[in-house]
Amino acid sequence: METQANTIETVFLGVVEKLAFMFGDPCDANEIRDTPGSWVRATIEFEGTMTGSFSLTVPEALCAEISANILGLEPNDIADSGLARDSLKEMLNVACGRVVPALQGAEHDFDLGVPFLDELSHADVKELSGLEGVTCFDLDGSPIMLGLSLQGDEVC
Amino acid sequence: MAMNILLVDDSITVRAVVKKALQLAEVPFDRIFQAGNGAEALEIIGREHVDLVISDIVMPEMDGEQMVVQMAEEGLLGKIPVIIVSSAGGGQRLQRLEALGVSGFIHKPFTPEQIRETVDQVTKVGT
Repeated sequence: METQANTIETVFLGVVEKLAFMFGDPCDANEIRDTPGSWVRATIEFEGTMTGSFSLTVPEALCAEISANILGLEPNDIADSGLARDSLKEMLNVACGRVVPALQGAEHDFDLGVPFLDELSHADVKELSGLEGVTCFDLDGSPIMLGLSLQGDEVC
Repeated sequence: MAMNILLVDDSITVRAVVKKALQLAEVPFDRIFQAGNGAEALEIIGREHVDLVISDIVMPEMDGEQMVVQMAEEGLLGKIPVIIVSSAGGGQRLQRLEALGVSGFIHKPFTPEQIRETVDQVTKVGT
C-alpha cells in the first residue's frame, strides 16, 4: 500500500516534470546542509477534509532556473528576481493543487490560499531539513525541500 | 477571427505561460490584456473590447469566483465566455461556477493543446 510520503513524492515529481520539465529524486538531508547561501521558501495553505500547509524551499539561484524552465527560456533571460520567485510560488501552487486531492480523495472539495514567500538563512535551512515530514529532493542537481504540515500536528 | 483575450491571474508566471500556450497552440488572438485580480479584470472589461476571459480562481483582493458573480450580475457572461485555469479543486465550486455560466475549466498543469481545445469549445470555433 502506498504511504502518504510515497503519494506526495510521486505527485510532486510528476507535476515538476510536466510543469517545468525538471527531474527529481529523493536525496539525503546532508545535501541540503552542504548547500550554503541564501534560500527561499514558498508556503501555501489548504483547507479541505485535510487542513494544513505545504512549503517548498530552494536555493535562491534555483528560482531563476525554475522560472526559465516553466517559461521555456534560459536562466540568464530571467533578470527579474520577482518573476523568478513568482515561479517558485506557482510551482508550489500547482503541486499543492494535485497533491491535496491525491491525499484526501479527489471527490472532496478543498480551498487553496495565496502562496507567500520568506527568506531563510543556511542555519534555518539546516534546522528545517532535520524535521519530520520534510522531504529532500535533488532537482536537476540542486537540493530542495518539500514540507507538509497538517493542522493539529507540528510537521507530519 | 482574432480575439481580444483577457488573462486574469496574480502570478506573472502563469500569465506568461498562458500567453505562450495560446501562441504555441495557434489560437488566433489580436490583443492580450492582463489583470492581477478580478477587480482589475472588471475594470479592463469596462473599457476595452474583450472576447474571452481566461482566469484563475484564487487571487488577492477579488478572486475569480467573485469576478464571475459580478460578470453574471451585469449580464456579461452571455457575451464574454470565461475559462477557469486553476490549481484549486472541488466539484462544488466548479458546479457553482458552471451554474453561473462559466464555459470551461482547465486544471493546472496544462498543455497548449488543452488550452486550444477548451478555447475552441467555448468560442465554438471549428464546429
